[in-house]
Amino acid sequence: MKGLVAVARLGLKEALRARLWLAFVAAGVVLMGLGLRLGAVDEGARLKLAVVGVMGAMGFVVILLAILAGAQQIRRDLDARVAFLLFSKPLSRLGYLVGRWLGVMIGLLIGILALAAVGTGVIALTFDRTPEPAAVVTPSTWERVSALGERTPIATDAQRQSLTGPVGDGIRWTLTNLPSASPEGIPLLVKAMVRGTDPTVMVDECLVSIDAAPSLDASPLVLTVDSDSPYGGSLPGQVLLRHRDVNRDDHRQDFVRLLIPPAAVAPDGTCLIRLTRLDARPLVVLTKDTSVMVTGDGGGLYVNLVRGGLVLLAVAGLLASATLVVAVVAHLGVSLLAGLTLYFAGSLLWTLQEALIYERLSAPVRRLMELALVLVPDFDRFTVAARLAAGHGIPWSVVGEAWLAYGCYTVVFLAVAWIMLVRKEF
Amino acid sequence: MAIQTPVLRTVGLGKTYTDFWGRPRLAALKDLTVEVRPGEVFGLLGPNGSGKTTTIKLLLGLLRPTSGDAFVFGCDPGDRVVKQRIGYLPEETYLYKFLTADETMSFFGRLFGLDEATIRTRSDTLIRMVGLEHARRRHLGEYSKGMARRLGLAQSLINDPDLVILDEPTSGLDPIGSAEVKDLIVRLKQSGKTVLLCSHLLADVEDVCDRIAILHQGSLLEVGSVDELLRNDDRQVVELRAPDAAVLEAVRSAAGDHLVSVAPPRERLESHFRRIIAAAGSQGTSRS
Repeated sequence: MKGLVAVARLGLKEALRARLWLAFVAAGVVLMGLGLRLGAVDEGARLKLAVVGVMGAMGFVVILLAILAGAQQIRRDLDARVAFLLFSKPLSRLGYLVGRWLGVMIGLLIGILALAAVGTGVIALTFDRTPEPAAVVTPSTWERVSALGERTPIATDAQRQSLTGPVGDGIRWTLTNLPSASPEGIPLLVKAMVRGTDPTVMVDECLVSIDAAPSLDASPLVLTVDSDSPYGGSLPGQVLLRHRDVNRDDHRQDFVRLLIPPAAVAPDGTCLIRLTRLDARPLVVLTKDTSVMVTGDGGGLYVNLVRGGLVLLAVAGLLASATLVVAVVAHLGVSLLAGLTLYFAGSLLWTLQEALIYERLSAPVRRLMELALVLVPDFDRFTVAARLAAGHGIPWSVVGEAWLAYGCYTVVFLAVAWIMLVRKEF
Repeated sequence: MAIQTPVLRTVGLGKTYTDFWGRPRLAALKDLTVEVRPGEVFGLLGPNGSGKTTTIKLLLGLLRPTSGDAFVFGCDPGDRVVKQRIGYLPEETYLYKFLTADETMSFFGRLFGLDEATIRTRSDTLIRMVGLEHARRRHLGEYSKGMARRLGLAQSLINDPDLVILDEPTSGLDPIGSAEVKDLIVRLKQSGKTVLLCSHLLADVEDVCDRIAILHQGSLLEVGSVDELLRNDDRQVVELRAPDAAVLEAVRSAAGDHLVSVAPPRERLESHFRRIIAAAGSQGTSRS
């Protein structure tokens, strides 16, 4: 263990003393600058681009350094025969390998903390404010409620419900563990896909009412649209829902914004939200997790950039371990090529998915592509930049999920590298 | 009297390098059986390619033997407990150029799990011993080959090893440095350490080793004490202190046909060099 820590410290010292990382950080700062200078229709859009620019810069620096640093250090140790001296000491090969990997990770973590601080500072200076990503609470259960008040449970695996019946039918979501409400209330975001039931008539909005109650027994309180809402305002007690595709999830642009009064939230943080359709013509499609959500304090831009960076670090850890495997047996160039190839493959899995859906493929090719979808890690799974730009916070649960998803690959790659290093003679 | 366990023991040790397909390519070491006893300086002698470094790598667990066995302190050479007791100086100095001498010592000390206070104390002593105090905070990238070699020697002693394996320790050192290394080996022996010295510089080995093994093309040619191997019973040397002409004539006539030569002994170049450099150094000091 002490050997592992010594090697990790050595790797960190080496990373800090080598001048190579400066070039990447400089490139990252340039990317951030470009993100700020991109033209956009309004300041809100420019702010989004700036956030994407900062996350993009972090991704660029972290991914490339992860591929380069670990492979370069191990390859140098093997080529310059330093490993020869190291392994004559009581240093296990696993300790050496994990120490090298850990050194790179700690170096990248420092880079993430620094770049997130620079990014937050640059955005604050440019816009005189920083976006505040929101933490989101999504419903725990939902059910259908007819105009006569009859309740119908929805299957747990059902993700979508369409309201097509008579006026008055609706959906009731149960939100739990809501944060304690301020006197102004808790912000509630609502969106839906709205289509016409008659294909010849263009319909993209629907009048609904939305109310909230602390329990089924309590009388519901009709919610009104917040003055900050981008759309949805109508007559008192009514909300005009406009069509929003499932992929549109910008908190500031795509959701009707309402306020849940403190009286509508039970002491244990439970609140029942009911949406009732008031117009029979449109078809309203709602989802369990993305149609209704409560937003709260997400922790500020810096904290969220760091959490996003930690998700990137999980990807970087995987790529670093994969390049270590190759670096143990092949030259530096081959190792770098392998790391970059894996990264590009993992970033383009959607093309395989599309090809499987739309292309006519022979059975072996189809099998091969399906196998690749299973085996190759999906680096587009956690779209942290897009989430942050859309106003979503990056919760710790996403960071944990990312480390769990990519960590499994990392452990496997490190184990393979260890086996190869143990078999290696010096 | 208790029989001491050999510090190093090889039994029929062999190593054949293979190609990618596992076909034998080169038999670097064949059937080596030797023992190194506690507290002795053992020399491994041989020309380039004789299998010296291969033997050392096998004894450090860096290579796996193709045949036979190697034991260090009675255990497998790959055992980490065994490595804890070994100090090793490789043939070439493989150190990190971005570290200073202090950091290098600290790094290797940590690999042995030493605490900071011990590392600091030993680093100070060893860096002073190898004469690098003036350069201890310089990066190794700025070191000459000889300085790096001295630091390599210092790192090999950071764990206060029971067994010191030195592969060509005087390579890259000037005559003064070489002599200091030999003095160090003698001091290590006096403090009870076992030293395995690997060299093709015969004078180095002859000066400090108790026993030697001579390898050639991977095979052991001879093993024994230096005195035994170099002893020549066909001849005798008679040393006389300040003899005059009459004494010399008496010796010549007494020896008769047995006499080979009568001549004043020559000082060895190394001791001559050390003496005049030391004299020049003390003159410089007195002048300044």
